[in-house]
Amino acid sequence: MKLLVGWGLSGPSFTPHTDATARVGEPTWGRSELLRDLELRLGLPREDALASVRVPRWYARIAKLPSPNAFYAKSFEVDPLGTAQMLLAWRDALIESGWNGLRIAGGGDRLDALAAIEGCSEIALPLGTADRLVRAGLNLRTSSSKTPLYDDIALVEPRALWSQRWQQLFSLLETSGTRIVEMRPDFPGAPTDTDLGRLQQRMRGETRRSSDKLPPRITGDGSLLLLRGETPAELAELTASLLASWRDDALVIRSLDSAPLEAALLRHHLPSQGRTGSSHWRPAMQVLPLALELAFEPRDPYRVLELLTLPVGPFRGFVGSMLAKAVSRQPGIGGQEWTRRKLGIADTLRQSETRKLTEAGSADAAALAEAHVAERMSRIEEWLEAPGAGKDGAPRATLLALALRIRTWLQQRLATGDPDVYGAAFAQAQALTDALSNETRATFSREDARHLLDTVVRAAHGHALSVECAGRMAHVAHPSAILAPTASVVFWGFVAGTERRPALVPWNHAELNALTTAGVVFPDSGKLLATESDAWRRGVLAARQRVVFVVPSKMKGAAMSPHPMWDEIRARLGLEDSAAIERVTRHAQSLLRSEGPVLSSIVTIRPLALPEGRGEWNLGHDLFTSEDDRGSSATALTTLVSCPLAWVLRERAGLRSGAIAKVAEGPLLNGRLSHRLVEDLFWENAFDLDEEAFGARTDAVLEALIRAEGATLLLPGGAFERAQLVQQIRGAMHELRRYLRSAGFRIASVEEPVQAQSAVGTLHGRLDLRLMDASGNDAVLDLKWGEVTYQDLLKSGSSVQLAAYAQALRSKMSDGRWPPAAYFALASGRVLTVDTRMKAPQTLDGPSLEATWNNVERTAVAVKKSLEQGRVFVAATKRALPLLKALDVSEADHATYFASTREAPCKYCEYPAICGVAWEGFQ
Amino acid sequence: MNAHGLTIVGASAGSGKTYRLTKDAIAAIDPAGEHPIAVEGLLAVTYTKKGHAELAGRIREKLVAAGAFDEAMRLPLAYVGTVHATCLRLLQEFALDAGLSPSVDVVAEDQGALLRQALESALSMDQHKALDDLSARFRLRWNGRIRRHDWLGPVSDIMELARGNRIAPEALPAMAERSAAGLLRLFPAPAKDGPALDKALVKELASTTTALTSRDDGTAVTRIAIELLGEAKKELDGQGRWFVWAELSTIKTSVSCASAVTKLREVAASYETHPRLHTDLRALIFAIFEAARIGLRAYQDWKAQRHVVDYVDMLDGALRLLDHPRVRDELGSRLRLAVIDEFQDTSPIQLALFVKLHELAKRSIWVGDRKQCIFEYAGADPTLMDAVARWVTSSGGTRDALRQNYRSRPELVHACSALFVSALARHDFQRDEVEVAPARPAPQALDHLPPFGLWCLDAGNKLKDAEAIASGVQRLLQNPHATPVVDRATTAVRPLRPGDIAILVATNAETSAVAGALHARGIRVAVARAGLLGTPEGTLADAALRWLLDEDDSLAAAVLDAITGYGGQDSDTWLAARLHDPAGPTSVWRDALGHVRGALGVLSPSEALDEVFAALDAVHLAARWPDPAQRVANLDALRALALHYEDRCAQEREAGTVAGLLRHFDAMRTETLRRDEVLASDDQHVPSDDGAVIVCTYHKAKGLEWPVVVLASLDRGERRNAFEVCPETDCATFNPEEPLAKRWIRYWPWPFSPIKNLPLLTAAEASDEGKRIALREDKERVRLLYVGFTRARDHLVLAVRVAKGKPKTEWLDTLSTERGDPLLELPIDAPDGADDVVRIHADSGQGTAMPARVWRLGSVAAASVAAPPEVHRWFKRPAAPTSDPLRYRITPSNAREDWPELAMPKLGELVPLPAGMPIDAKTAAYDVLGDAVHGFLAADGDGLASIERHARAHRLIVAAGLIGIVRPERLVEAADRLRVFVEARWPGATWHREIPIEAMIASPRGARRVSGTIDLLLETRDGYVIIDHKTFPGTTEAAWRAKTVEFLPQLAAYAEALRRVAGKGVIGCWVHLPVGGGMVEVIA
Ligand code: SF4
Repeated sequence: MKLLVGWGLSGPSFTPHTDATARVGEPTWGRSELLRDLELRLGLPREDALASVRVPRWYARIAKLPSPNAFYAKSFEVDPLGTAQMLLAWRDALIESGWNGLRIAGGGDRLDALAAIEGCSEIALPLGTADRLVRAGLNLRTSSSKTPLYDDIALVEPRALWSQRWQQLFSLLETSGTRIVEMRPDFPGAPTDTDLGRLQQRMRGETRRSSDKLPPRITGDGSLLLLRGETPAELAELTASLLASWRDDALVIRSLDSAPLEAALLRHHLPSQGRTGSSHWRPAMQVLPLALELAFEPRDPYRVLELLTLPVGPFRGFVGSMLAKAVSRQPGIGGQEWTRRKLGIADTLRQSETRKLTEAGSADAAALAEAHVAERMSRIEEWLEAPGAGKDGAPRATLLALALRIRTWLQQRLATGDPDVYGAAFAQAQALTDALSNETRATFSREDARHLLDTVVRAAHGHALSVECAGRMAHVAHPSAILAPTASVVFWGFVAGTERRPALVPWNHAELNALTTAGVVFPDSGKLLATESDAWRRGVLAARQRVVFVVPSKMKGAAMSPHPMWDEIRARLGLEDSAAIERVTRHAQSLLRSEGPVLSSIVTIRPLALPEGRGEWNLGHDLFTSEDDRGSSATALTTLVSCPLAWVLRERAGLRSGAIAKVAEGPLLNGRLSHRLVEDLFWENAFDLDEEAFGARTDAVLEALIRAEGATLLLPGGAFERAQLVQQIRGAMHELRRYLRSAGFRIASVEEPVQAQSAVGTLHGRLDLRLMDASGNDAVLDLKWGEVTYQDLLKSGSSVQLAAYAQALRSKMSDGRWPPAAYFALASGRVLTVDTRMKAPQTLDGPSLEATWNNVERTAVAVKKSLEQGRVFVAATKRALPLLKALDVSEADHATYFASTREAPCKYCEYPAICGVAWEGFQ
Repeated sequence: MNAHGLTIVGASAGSGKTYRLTKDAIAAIDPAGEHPIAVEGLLAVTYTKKGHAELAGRIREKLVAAGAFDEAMRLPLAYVGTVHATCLRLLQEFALDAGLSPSVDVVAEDQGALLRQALESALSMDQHKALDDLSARFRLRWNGRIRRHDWLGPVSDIMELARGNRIAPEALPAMAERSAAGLLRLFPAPAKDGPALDKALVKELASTTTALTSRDDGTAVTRIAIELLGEAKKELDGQGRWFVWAELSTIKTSVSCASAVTKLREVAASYETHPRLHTDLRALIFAIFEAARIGLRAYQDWKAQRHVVDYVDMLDGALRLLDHPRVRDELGSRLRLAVIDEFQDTSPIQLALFVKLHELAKRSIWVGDRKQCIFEYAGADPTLMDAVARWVTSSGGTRDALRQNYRSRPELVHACSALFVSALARHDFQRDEVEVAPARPAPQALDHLPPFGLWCLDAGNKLKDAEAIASGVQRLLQNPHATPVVDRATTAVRPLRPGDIAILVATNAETSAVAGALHARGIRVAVARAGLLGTPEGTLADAALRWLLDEDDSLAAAVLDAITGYGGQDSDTWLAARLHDPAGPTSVWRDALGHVRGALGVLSPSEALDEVFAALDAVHLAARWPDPAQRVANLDALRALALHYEDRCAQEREAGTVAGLLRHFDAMRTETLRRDEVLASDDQHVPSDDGAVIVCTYHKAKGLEWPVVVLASLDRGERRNAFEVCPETDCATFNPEEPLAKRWIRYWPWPFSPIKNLPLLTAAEASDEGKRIALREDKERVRLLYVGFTRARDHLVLAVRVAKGKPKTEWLDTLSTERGDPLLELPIDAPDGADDVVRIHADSGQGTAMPARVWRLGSVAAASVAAPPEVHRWFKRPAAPTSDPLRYRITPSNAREDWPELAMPKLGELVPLPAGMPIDAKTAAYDVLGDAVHGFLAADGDGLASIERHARAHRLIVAAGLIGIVRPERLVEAADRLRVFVEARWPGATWHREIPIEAMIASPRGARRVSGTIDLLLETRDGYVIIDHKTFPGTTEAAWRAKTVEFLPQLAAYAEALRRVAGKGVIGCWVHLPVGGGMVEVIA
């Protein structure tokens, strides 16, 4: 066999073989492939020990050695795993450089300490790459075979720069008859009368001091191009359009961020080059960290949401979506909404399972369905509802049980599912199980658990995001994989930071001297850097016609500067003069503006208008005929009379956000918690208690509610808000109780379902509080968080909801009188009303609710009429007329109609991107 | 310690700082130099990453140009980087020596937020309440809008300052004592009888209320006074509220009612002597410092638990590292030159680090400009810089200055020199530190363009200022030839482009206002502004990800419909269809995203976003939307958000999901208080091309330059006073041994928020502390103006609001003589378009007159100005291909799918071998056994000694965990049987085990590649024989045949590939079944 081996040849490469029709026994390999092949031929079993196994073992060795004075002792105390990881890396590098694991004479305390750990062999350390090299060497040396394993090995990098262990292997192979040579790629280069040719000439003469000081003349003939642009997105399109227009062979060096280029190739109908992504964040791999997070109190509702909506997680689909909605509404686990949704899930599952089983002819459908429901419910309990660990941390056994549970679940998934999806996740669960089994700590804080997971378990997992397609252009990830000439070379992502740097050697002069004496030698860092520079130069030298460097100003938000080789090119070509640089530079935006020399074809494209802010939509048919009086709500009525378009989009088109709705927070959450508090206090008759007992109950109930329905307040960063909120709510409850007493009311019901007849149909809703005075007269008290908004609504006669509730209660009453009604502002603990019958400390000036209701009804009728004609008015686009004007209500009658302010309906509206309000500044 | 070997180079704006730094570094490294140092001995610290890239690039370029290739290659071994990168590298290199955790994870989040989190987790509810109560008494930092006071702000400030100055938490109580003592000194001595004062006030309040109510003259001022009395009564019901006293002491009524409140004012004015006020204030100051102490401790624990460090820890760690003997030895032997850039912006702790590095390297060059020390809020300390400068001169160091300006045209250089020599003279700057000589040639073509411009803004507020400025820019751009500029790249004179203009403003809010006004005029703007998620592309990303996670998200679907053009329909038709079919009409995006949903189970959040963009062809959509350049570039900003999210998850060691990314989007678009401004964090891309006008703050303008600079916000009046958390020092001179010694934190809370003008303020201003602050503030305002004035290359415009014939130039007026007279005299009365002069006065009495072009700009609303129609251009895309793509790689084992056109072979002869491989257990994992068998057959090389063959077999069986299932000798026997078979059939054949094969295959859609490894390839004179080993339990011939059929495509692929190797054909294909003991021929 004839091998071509190089450090950059593990992935895609571009070698003289690349275009060969066929070849047998002439592989192109990186270091890892060569090592594995050697092992195979020497009958050495595969050893792929992960860091997750090796680091804890090495850590156990260190922990076993009583060495309080060791140089690493303090660090080990601070961060045992991290220190073990670093020392193991040092040890591996030493072994690869020739260390035999024994004490180095005169090496000093640091090397002695490492030798001591190495000597602690009763704890076995699985083989790392360096150990595998040693093992291969030993076997090669003792092999009885007389035939060489390979005929030839051509090395891309100078043999002297390979590590000691590799060099030993090469010597042994040579002894057995293998010919080892260094490969010198042959690059004919570009014609010397081109810019590229001139640059190549200069680069070839690199080892001597430049004798001809005068820089060559750079003409800007296109053989050397620097493409500049704002971001990879536009440069990818430019690059793809160039590649599509060139008919010759091109090679792309994709050092960084190939996603935009791949997308652009596809759009330019060029074959995909294939792309593999490596990430820690593959969905199945998140099950373990999420579950681990939820093993601790307080449990972050956002994390719960993530687990519920994880595409391949344990709750994906209907169950996850239902529970996610509960958590978005009432962030927490076990609250009212959670319980309600769970019951709903059980019912739905029961019905569908029974139906399925019955259809399949099962005799015992009901019992089997029940068992299925029980299994699904127990998963919810086990994964989400079991109480988490508190301040004292979680016992190791608990975490181990959790890791095992997840491992089992992933194993089941793996049995039927895609290994690409679940394989790495399963390996992680296995690694955590191993690590926890080897752990000496009895309990773990949340931070400990995270750190363990991060240090031992977390590893990136590669996934093929797209595959190479027939006819694809050649590509490499690094220029070290270029060993053959081609017409064009494109350096995609030619930016600083893509160059590889040798690892720093942690040993000082004295230590290095002792090591060298002992035969442990590290390759020279400067020479390694020179090899890296050589590789980049190869990218330029390989081109016969042109080289293109693509440099975006920003890449994923980070400012980019050209790759260091650009400095060298500038120096070699004397491009200090900015004008000369401009001759070889093309800016994507200038090309689009058709400025400067033509490089690629630019076409005019059809603009795409964003939804325009229309004043009126015309749907041409009756939007009320489909009304089946399925009922509406006071909120819907408010929308109807404020922005008919928003009403149509919500009530008729049914546009609603999904499982990932915004989690309730701020005033919305505060209001909901207070509502629930009043409700719970009412059901336990707490309002009848004396002040002190009432206060105690308020505190206790509120605390439980926050845990179950407002757990976002328990998260780090929430304590200040929580403290202020608790104070506010506590104060509000006292004020409410005081008000009820002083005004002579008692709470008759909470959340009582009511109906109101309106001109646009029946409105359904629930009264926050129905109050009753000593004479049995009812009143409405609607709880709201804020104060100013509702005060303004009352003063301006715009409190549609309160009027609707009053109307609903009125329809229940025999005398047809309007009941008194008020808002209770929780933030300030004040009663807001325009009705003196509420006996509030202050009564606001404003129209009666009856008048408000009548006005609303008139507007609603007018809106309805317009909707019946298919005309839908919009509240607040620039082109929208004031609603009453649009409805053709004469100016004189405006006082008898309801009209909201122009912007008010948009404040919480979800549709600005559809009605066009969002885009008015963009057009 | 002395400053021998240390040179401070004063580098005024535009004086070629980077050139000098490069020169010094090259001079040190160049092997052709006199005493060259090793590259590893160079340490060069820059203030920004950009600075680092520029410096490293220049050094490399010069080294290559000088033929010093080796040194250029070795440059990464030098310590060249930002201060943080340098510290990080030191810590990583020497972590174990210093007893630190080697995993130096730097917390990504804003340190202030983390400090607050730690604080709140550590403070008990009682402490919390006590702070609340005390703050309520003083309405500490009162925010009237949300009606909340804020003690968290000063606590956080103290914590941050303590960290930046290496002040131990335990030292804070003493600082509380000093602060309290200092503040209380400003009050008169406390009276003895506090309750008496309370009583007197309550009494007077009641009687005044009666009197005033009865006398109510209906005037607004009296009405307000009556309301105030009512409120005051309520407020005084509980604990004393000191702002109420203060408020009552200044209560106003109409003239006719004035006498009714005289007594009340007198009684209330006694608050300053109220003993309880003194006690409360003291308690508040102590409580705040105590909270900071607790918070700092908790923060340390928090970081230790998480094994993370913050930036200050990094610096602190590096500083401690430099005291470690081994590190000192090592670095002392390595470092030879330390070069520090932007030295004036270093924080005290950084300065301490540089001093230590100098001690080790023995030679340092610190380049900077005291005049440009403007990052005080970020920790720089100008006073310390002044002290350092004095220390260097007095203790053996040298000072040098760059005295030429290569940036601006001569007139501007002269003007700025004249102006700032005078303005800075009263702040201890010598003439030679300020004055520079012009070094840039002035082309004649600029002669008719006056160096100065004056824009008189006819505006009444900031928003109108912005409109007026935007109209000025529009006017500039309408006639670009009237403002010629020198192209920086080509040095040729050319007409003005949008990217040549920069507008400098004081705050981010003003940035947004100006950007908005320009945008409305159709002028592209390069500005750091939030709102990314509210753009069409942000909306697209957000809605698409939501829809991917939940198909029932009908809102997301509708939004996608709307912004992608309603599927080609008009919006009415679309909505009508939607009403008809609530599931929504099918659109192109649904199919495209449907494919992404199929892969969602393996995609990371950022990959999901990339796939969304690719599937929806977001770049093309963006190119078709309004302002396409910004739209397209914003796609990158969105990808940056996703990356930022994943980075944060990594930092926090938490999970990362698409739902989490969406939550991150929400968090980024939410406005939060950052420094003094409420801002969102979803920043849009800032264009860097020359088609966009630049709008930025004075602070962000530092280090940059533009042909035309417009200085705005010149009426900025806000000043700091003594009532803020403030670093203080007891050490007038710089102590290099302990640069941070004797530093302390002072905090005086303003006790009467929101009332400002009270005797306390006057007393504070007259105090030493107050004077120091005022002086610092004055200096800072001058320095910031210096930065602004020196950014312009060709034309400097002063945009000044003129109201009622007077210029609003409160900030500009800080450029004043010793006597406080403004140095600049502006021709604000000149008519529009006039050429006039700006006069620069000097203390010496000599003035300079600089030609200026005057424009009078009104604040016409943008709506009336029509933006030019936009033309959308894009790179041409070829027409769609007609066929689907084919995979490039063909894997023989998957040839049935990958290579369907391959002719399928048939089964041929079946030859039983003398025996099979007996398995000693009932159940065996055949995949594991297969690996072991394969492994042995591959390793059973020619001529191996028997003992070694058995050893290899044994090793493989053990490693596979098959001991007790298969005996190792069975492998050897199976190999022998194969050998006998082969030698009988193809005597003398050469064996190639595990041999890789590759071949290119032509296809109508382009070349494809087949590659694999043949288990055993026999090379005979007549051709090749392929043998593939398959380990499976079947023993009957029927089972063998059935099994072999599965592998026909694989063998066919090998054979086909092999046929393409020139020279020989394939004469046989066999499947070897070692377990059953047979050979099955495949006729390909
Ligand atoms: S954003 Fe405003 S105008 Fe648009 S639909 Fe909603 S409420 Fe109506």
